[in-house]
Amino acid sequence: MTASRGVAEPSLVGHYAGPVTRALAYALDSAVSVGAYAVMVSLGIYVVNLITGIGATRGDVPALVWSLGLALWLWLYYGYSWIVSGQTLGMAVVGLRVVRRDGAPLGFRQALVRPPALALSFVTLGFGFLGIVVGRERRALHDVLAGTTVVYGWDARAARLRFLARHPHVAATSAPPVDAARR
Amino acid sequence: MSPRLPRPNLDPVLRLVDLDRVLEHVDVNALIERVDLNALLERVDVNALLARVDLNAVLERVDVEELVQRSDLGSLLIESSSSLGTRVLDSLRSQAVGLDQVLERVVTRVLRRDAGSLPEGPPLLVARSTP
Repeated sequence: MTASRGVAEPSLVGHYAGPVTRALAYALDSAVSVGAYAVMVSLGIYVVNLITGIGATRGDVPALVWSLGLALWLWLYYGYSWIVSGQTLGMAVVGLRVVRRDGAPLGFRQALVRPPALALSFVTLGFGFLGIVVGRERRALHDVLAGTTVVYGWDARAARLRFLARHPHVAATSAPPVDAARR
Repeated sequence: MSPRLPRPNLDPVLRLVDLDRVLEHVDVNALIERVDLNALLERVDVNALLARVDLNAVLERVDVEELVQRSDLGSLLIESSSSLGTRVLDSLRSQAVGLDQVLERVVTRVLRRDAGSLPEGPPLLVARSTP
């Protein structure tokens, strides 16, 4: 066992998450939530047709009803996930979680306010997301409105150790994938 | 009552003695064998000695990555978390976080910020993770 060669690799847990990881998490959540909504709607129409035999199709339902239904579903999808664990499916995959601005676990109020506030960030033609890129605390408009922030929940250092354990031939001094971007 | 004699000054005498030649005749091994090390160690207060050791400073010098590679700790890590899913997730997250950091550097340079003055995370979480 030799002396440390330098500063220990940071774990990044609790650090503000950046725009790439947040965008990736959102893309995954969008795919899952909208996909699930489409499946539920199709299933619902199938059941209605099975029971009533009216032969309804998706085109028979007004667009406004679709939109409101989708909005309600998304509010439920995001709000419930954030209340229960502070993270949605997409955020869990990417390794992120939502916390209060000071780092405390998310509360009920924040989890309910954040989904509609997220819609506002889109309504502002995307300017609501600018804070994630240029803000000191990487907070978007919906984060400011809900009093939240998004942090990494993934331990980069533990991942580095797992990688080294599987690849003993790789020198421990070689730059890990995360920190390679810093150099 | 006998008068007290002044203490003789032996320094001039000792300067004439070649101590190296004297020590050549001393069997150091035999000398050490005569020392009762157990008795000597019994006089050492190990608890007081350990109390003076800064274990955090010692542990900071431990190269954890090399420890993982050289010890069974690595195989323990593999057994506990070596599923394909874990590897895929680690790889995906590493790439995404790496891109985050690249973007952060670019923005910091463009806005001419002092990277050291930017907060790393919320106060409750960063304080907890700082040793």
